[in-house]
Amino acid sequence: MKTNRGSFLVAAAAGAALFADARGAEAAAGPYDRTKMDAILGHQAKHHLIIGSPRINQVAALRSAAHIMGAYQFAFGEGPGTTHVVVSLYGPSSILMLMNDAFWAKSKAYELCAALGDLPETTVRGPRNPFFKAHSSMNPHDDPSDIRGFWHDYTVQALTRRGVSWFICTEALHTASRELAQLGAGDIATNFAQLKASLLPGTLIVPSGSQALVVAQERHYTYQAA
Amino acid sequence: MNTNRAAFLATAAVGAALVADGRPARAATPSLGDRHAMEAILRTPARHKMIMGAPFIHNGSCLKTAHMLTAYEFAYGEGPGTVNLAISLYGPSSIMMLMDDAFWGESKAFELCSGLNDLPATVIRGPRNPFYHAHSKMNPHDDPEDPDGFYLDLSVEALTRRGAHWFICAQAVHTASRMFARLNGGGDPETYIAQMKSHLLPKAIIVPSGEQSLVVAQEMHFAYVAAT
Repeated sequence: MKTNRGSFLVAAAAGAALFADARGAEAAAGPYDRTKMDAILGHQAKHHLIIGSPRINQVAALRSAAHIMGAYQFAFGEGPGTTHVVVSLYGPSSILMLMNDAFWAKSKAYELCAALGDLPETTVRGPRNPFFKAHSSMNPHDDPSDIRGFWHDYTVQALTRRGVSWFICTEALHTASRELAQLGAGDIATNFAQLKASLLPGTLIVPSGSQALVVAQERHYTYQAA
Repeated sequence: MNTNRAAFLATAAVGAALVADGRPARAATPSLGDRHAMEAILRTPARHKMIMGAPFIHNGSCLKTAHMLTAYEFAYGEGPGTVNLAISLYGPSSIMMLMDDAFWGESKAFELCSGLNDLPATVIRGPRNPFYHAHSKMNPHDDPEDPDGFYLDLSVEALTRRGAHWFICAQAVHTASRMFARLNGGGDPETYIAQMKSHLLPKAIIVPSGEQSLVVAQEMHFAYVAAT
């Protein structure tokens, strides 16, 4: 992630400006990019899966995505790219996995997750999103059984490289905005704008992360709760 | 796994050919999982098909699938055998539910589960698998509403008698083997994997990935329920 402090503040200011509009926060939350959501769900693949995750829950969603793709790729011998995985995050802690380093450094993201009892024990407060950066060298030639290799790299960066798509829930953004404010981190509107401005590249805001699970299943996706 | 070496190498070659930069991928270690046994179970004809996924024991929540069987059998009046039920366990603690008494008596299965805060409060360390043995006499003539009867017997043994199939995730077996190595202050994870494989309960099979089995099953029109 290359977001520096300058671009972070510019983006946050742009987002905050939306709230000065008389239409208020609800209008600022949309319009949603329904076309892009449909395009993602319409991605051609042999297998389609959506994973829903209201909590970080020891990165269960990330682990499941890696294991499922790995099983089709290696155990089933299908090679890469046969499984399209969409991860839909719809809780105030889980959505923070899709915020950039600048947000984690300057906001109370860590404190929010800790207050919800939803951080892995090994996570410490630091200047970076602890769920983003790959733990491996992301080498596709790694042994699939190597627990430290690419195929067991349960990070957003590694999974994005493997083709995972990410949905983030507007309702959860609102909830996180309120909870950050309760933690003493600014006002709700500014928090909401900052969250929207701090998304990792490739993340798509959807009206409702849980509704996305229904939309996907109506399009014959399989589903897994994480 | 039933895949033979030739098939495995052919499979690996397919994967290698698809690596983007053209260099051959490293050969994959053959999966512990038996894909063909899994698919045979999932193909078993039934009026209703359901798979439950359980990464944790969660107070034995996956065993409550008994209620679903009972609902079809009695409330819907369909009688027995109309449901093909598969239960996929894919966490290091939940897979311990499918190890035999000898394993629970001699290993640190209890310590592994308690270390993950994933044991019901009533479970104490003992020489037997606390989830396996039937609490009832498994009499199919029991009253479906008898809390001590067969149909409310939330044990692996009783559910197996009622036709449930059990999947164990190969990835979770690997994770558990590493945890046993830590709990025992060392040891080769492969040894622990071999021990687990030799102490599986009857009817339990290892699949390549418990999470993936949920996808495979849904593609075969199974309903999915998460154990919570």
